[in-house]
Amino acid sequence: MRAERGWSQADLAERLGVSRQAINAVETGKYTPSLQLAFKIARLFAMPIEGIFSDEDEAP
Amino acid sequence: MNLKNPKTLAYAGSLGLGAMFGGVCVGILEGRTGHLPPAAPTAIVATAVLLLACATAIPLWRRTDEVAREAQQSAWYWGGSVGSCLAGGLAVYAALAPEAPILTRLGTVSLNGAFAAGLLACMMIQIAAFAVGWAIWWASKR
Repeated sequence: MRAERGWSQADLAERLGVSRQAINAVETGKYTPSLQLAFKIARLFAMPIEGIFSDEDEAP
Repeated sequence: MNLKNPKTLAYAGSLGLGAMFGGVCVGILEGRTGHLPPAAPTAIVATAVLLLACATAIPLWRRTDEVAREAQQSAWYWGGSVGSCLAGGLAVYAALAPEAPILTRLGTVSLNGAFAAGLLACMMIQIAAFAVGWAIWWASKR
């Protein structure tokens, strides 16, 4: 999604007001963002949260 | 004073830490020279250092994002706990071997100085363990 818009991790980090390392940790699935950050990401991409994040326990 | 207010809690915590660090510095000085430094200049310097530390740390903390805060929290929990254990081991070693070189190298001439040096050693060990915990946390998220 980020790449589709031609944004680097640093670009997205700047738009969200977090560090590039934070974006990397979220993208690699090694950090689960807070609801506040998740809503911020969803708003930025104009998508619902569940369109961006998925529950690992959810049945495929 | 409402300690449920995070801002008040932060200032109270900073004051407590500052008082402890100031006490350690005074103890180290007393341990090395055998005399307590004059109270008024010491209090002024300690307050100035504390205010400078708050003026630096508070804006820095406000700019810190949630991932970095999580790293700090985890590093303080694990690093602080492991550091406490190591410091406890050092305290036991010091108690069982009071003539050990590690103690004589501190150069203290009084009980206050030795206590302050021990406290400083505990703080340094915890900070070092925090740094290791912080590095491990970030390495695990790469």
